[in-house]
Amino acid sequence: MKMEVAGDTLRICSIQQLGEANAKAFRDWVRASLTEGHKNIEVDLSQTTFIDSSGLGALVALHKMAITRRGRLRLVNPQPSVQQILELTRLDGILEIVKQANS
Amino acid sequence: MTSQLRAIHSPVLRINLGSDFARVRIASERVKRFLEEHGCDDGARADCELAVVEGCNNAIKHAYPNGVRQPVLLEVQLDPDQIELRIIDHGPGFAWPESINLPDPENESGRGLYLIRVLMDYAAYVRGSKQNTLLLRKRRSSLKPEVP
Repeated sequence: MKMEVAGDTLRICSIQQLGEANAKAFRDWVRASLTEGHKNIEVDLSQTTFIDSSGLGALVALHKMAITRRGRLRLVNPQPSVQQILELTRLDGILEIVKQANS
Repeated sequence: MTSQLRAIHSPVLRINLGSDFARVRIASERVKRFLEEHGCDDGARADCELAVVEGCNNAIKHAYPNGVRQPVLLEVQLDPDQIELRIIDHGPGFAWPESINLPDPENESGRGLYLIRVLMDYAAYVRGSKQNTLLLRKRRSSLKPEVP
């Protein structure tokens, strides 16, 4: 996983999997990395091939962190298998999912 | 099909997970490869992979609340038209909820059993005196599950 900052947005990319093995560490890493200047969190899911309920829980946690900062969580370019899980759990209704040409 | 015939004609994969979360993901990838080797389609493979992860993590988390660590066993049996997954634990088990609904969207947990229910064609938790079995079935050629 990689993290970068663009203005008031903390961006995380190169996530291969988001599951029981790494979801809690991922959530805690993002929380610890947020500074006062960060409002938004962007998670690039273009390389994520697997997500489970723990991974979904971590995304919900990030969503709440962003709301607390009056910002928002953006999920960028999820693969179809991950998009399907977001839809099945209806998280596509509360999490912003965006398609970008160059993520 | 009699049980003898089924044993001869139905390939079986058995994995002992111990009670180690780290082995669950490896086991689910092994299951996915096993299903691919036997011609199950992409959708069925992906759905079984996730159901195995959710079922096994759940067994390790909830089957042994008193800290007694006994192995969780995973069995996959391929019948001509369906995949049967059995996740067996030897703890006191837990009460399988009568209805499984999505939690509040802001909740960070509680989606595992729901995913199992919507991804699988059949799910039952059989609680016994010596072992409990989460029994899951999925058609080998799956249609995409629909959002309920």
